[in-house]
Amino acid sequence: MTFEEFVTARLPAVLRFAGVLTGDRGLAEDLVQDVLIRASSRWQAIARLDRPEAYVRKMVVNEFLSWRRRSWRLVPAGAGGDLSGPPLPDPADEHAERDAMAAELAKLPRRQRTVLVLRYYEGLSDLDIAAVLGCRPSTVRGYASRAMAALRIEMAGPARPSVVIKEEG
Amino acid sequence: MRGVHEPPMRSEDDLRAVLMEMERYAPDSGTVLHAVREGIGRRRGPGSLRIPAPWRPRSPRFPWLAGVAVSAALAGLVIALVPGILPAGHGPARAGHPSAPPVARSGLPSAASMGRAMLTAADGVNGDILYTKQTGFSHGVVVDTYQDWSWPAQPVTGQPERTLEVFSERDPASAPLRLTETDEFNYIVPPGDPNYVKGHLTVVCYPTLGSKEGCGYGNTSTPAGTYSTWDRQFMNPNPGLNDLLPGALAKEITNGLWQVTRQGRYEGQPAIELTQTPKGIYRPLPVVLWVNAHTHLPLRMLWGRGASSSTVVSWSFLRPTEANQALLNARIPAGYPHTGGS
Repeated sequence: MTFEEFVTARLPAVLRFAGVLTGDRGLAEDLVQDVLIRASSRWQAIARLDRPEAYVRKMVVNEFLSWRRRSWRLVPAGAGGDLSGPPLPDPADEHAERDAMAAELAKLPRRQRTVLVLRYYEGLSDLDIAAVLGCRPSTVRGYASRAMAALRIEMAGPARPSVVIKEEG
Repeated sequence: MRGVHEPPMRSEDDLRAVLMEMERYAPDSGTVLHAVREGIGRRRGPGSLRIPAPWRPRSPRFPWLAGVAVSAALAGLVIALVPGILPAGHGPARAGHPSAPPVARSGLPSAASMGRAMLTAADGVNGDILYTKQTGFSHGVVVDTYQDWSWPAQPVTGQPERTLEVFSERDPASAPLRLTETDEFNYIVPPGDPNYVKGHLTVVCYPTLGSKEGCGYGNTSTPAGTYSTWDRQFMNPNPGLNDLLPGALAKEITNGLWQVTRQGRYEGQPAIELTQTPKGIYRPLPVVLWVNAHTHLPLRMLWGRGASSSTVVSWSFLRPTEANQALLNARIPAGYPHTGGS
């Protein structure tokens, strides 16, 4: 697959991912541009990988996690979550609640936010998220549980380990 | 009992819906393509996208990037020389339980024998206070740290477990690493691996970031610059398999998931280096683990050497002396008001 073929086929998905990750169209634009320009110069190596798209997304995540751009303290438009004040807007108002949740999501530490996006938007396993972030799967679970606690999200399923360790013998 | 003003809990589906809705922040593909083509043209000069060029750091905007490759290449040496991340001033680290592992023909112990020795060593420190520090790096610079104390180190069902976590974060780059939040959580270890456990929580929330209004842990709110205490059900701080526990690592090694690669010294201690390359859909990142050759307890793990995003984990085992038990208490800064609880 050439770089142009990749861009033609995969750019929309990469852009959506960057938009969700950053919560800001302008920043997502900057980020994807930078990543694609760098990817193009290394495309021969990237194209040999099993999943070039996965690698490019990893580049997007790493770019997001680097804090080079000071303006990346993200607060998307919408109602901010007032942690100390009265209850959230009427639950019947789904739009307001989602805006509030997006605002709280934006205030999470970047790694925690990234874990939630990779797990609940991209559907990656904790093992794959660990490979993206450069950490252990248990660390991913730690990031996720902290982030979900901060967002007051109740987990539906049972706690599940991502790495199965065989018992000796 | 839930207070009158406490917001309701959300579901994982709520989160998925919000993330899907955030696709609206996706940039316009035409704009991005135009900028990418221009950017590539500037870097390569006249030509087309099809002409490959060797990669170079893009500009002097990020001069520290030039040092990253060298840093990565020297990582092994650096690790051997850099002082450890032991909890300075937090009590004496446990000496461990010396024993001699069987030695393979190459002079290195086999992975199986190392694993068995580590399992025995882990059993010997079950009652200690386990201190771990996870340090996240981005492009070679620390971006966050999680310091965790837990006692006992490997609790069993029905045992009281005391935990303390201190989270520090750096953002933006120019800012120093700052204390962000401390959570002390004490509970009785339940049977199985439930998502939630009942216990006592203390949250100390520091006013570190401009946009930060407070800390949330479960269905609680703690404004920045205050602390709160709660007695109720919270997420299990240690759900499922914790693969950073010494016993879990020992089992991985016994089961052949790690290779013993060399012997050397780490912070003056005789150490054995093991490596692992996890599988996944991404390009594998090597993981390196150093284990004390005498005590067979883990010392440090480096995940993602040479990658732009990496993590270092370090372990210490503290005797449960009165002084060390005090480390499990959240420290409330003077002047912080108590703002909530149940």
